[in-house]
Amino acid sequence: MSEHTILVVDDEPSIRSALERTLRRENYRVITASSGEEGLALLKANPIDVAISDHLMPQMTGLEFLKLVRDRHQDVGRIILTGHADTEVAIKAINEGEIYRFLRKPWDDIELKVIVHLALEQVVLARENRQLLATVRQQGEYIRDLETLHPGISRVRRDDEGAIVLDEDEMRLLAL
Amino acid sequence: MESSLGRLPHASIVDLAAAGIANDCALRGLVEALLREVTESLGIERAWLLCPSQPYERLWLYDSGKTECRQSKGGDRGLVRSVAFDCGALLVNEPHREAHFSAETDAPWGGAPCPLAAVPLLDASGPLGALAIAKPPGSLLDAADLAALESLAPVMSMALRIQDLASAAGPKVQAHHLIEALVQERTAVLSRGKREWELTFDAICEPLFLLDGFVIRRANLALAAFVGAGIRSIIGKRCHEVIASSATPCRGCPLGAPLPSHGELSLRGKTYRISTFPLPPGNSSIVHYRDLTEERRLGQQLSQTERMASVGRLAAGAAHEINNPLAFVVSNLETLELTLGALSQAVSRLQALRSLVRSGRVARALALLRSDDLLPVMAASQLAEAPQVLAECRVGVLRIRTIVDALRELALETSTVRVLENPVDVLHRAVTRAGEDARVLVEVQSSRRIPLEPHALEVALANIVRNAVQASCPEDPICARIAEDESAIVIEVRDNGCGMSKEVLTRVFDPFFTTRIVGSGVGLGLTAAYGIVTRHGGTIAVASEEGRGTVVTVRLPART
Repeated sequence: MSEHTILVVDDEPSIRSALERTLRRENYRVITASSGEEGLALLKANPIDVAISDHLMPQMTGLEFLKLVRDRHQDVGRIILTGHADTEVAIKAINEGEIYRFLRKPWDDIELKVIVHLALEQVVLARENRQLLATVRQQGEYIRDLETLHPGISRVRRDDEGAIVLDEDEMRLLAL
Repeated sequence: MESSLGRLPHASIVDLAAAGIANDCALRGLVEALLREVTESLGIERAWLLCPSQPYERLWLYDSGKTECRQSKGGDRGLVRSVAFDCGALLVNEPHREAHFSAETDAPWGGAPCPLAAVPLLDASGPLGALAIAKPPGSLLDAADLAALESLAPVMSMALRIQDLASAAGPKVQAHHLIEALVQERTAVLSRGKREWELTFDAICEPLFLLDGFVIRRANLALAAFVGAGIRSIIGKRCHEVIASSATPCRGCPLGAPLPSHGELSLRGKTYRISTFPLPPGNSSIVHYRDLTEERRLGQQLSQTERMASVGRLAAGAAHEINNPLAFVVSNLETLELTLGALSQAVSRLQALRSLVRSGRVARALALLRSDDLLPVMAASQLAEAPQVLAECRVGVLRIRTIVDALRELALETSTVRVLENPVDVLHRAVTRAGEDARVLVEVQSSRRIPLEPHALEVALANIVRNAVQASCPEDPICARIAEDESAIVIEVRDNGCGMSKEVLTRVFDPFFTTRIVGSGVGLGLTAAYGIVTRHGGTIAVASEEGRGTVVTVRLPART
């Protein structure tokens, strides 16, 4: 099982260690930061899969932090953790930060695990998607290059019944 | 004829004219007097005067003591008329033979042709008319007659002119007309203004009226509607009769006060604010009624809503503050539960091993140990962490307790019991409560006892002292001073600490607002202090400058 890394950002040490303990039990690698600024520095230096941040912090709020994460590290899943159900924050989190999930304090450990798991799944899927897209694009370019060298090579002719029609060159090439 | 000239009292003609002016008598009287003078002085019967004026000419005829006035439309014929306009004297013994003869002006009595003489009457501005005399038919007029007539002409002219200037047609009439027009215009303006004011008063939908003493002199439609009667039936009655159906003035009526004043009146289940504005001099006043019932109801509703909103804000803040420690306590308990699970598994494994060893199956026991040697290791690592987890739980729970305590302080039962206490004692207890006896210097300038809720002020002052201590360096003293001014006991707590920015200053009383790091301050201290001081009818003010320090001033009313 590949080890995923979770970044936990909260200004309160006890919250950080509680989250860390819970997530470590799930065999995640956990790194913690006490502020948004510290979190951004850690993101630069470490491969991180999911960031969980408290909202109400001095200086940078969690929402501001996660917006920057979205802009700078597209691949990182974003979860916000907040002490009170403020609809305005929720709406902003979804519209501006494109947050994956909204977690409320106190959280339920099982719910936390499930959400982190799903966020990781999505991150992995998105990454694979991007990789596959890159492969497809690469192959397309290869075919275009071939076509310029051998015009018509990327096209297949068929008759009315769907059988492939070969010309003489092709017959020769295939030694038929 | 010399003799007749000599007889003519010129001065008397002028006197006549002057008398005419003085008595403001009509022109007719003057003309008659003048013509009588002329006929008598010349010894003849008839004389006449032609006065050309717009749009008619006037012809004054004098015959043997009687005067008659005719009007003619003028024209271009007539010997006398031509004298009036051509300004030359005339003497004709057979006038009807002349080319310009006109019976109208030259023979006004008709009958046989008479000899006739005429002289122009002039003044500086031009012709005034002509004066003519006639002798009976058959007699002759001569140059002496004409000369006598001519010598009369200037006096005659002067008299006419004076009369003309001073009398009816003069500036007096003009002035009179002018004044009359002005009066009419002013009257129109006044009545329009009065109407406008009536409409304005009627447009005001609250009762408004003018009183002489208690008698209604004017009222607007709103008052009529208010008392359910027509305006005319209200005017002249006493206001308390009309409004409250009472023979005596209403209780709380502010009428009679020398300055604009207000009072409140309850009528038919509603509350009104009565405003009176005296109209000096005399005892008139304007009275205005405003229905406060709805306003009062909305005000009460609003303050209720505000209270609910502030309770809501407080609850939300409390929930948020409690949620943080609650979150990690809950999570840590789960961790401990797992640790306990691992531990109990390890214990049961130990028991299994022990029974195997006891029953002599040592090989089995060794196999069991080898098969799962990870379990004790896991239990050991979780166990090692457990004290830390427990300690954090304790911190979280203690924090929740602090918040709950602060909330209790905030909700400190608003006791109606008041105890006479010396604020100095209260301050000393507060300092002790804050645990800062050594750092706080108390300066006492007043020891007056005031009624206080038991313990409440102590809590408030302890919070203020705690803030001061936390804002300043350990070696800086905190100064607390109790003084007294004309109306209040003033308690001042001053520190030379870090002070506050303007932004922070505006929020110091907000519940759960704190500048301290997470977990070390709840942010309810000043909120509670504010509530307690306000409840005592006092005020609390915070002045602060960043880097210089803070002064908190509590003022409590010295009298109840």
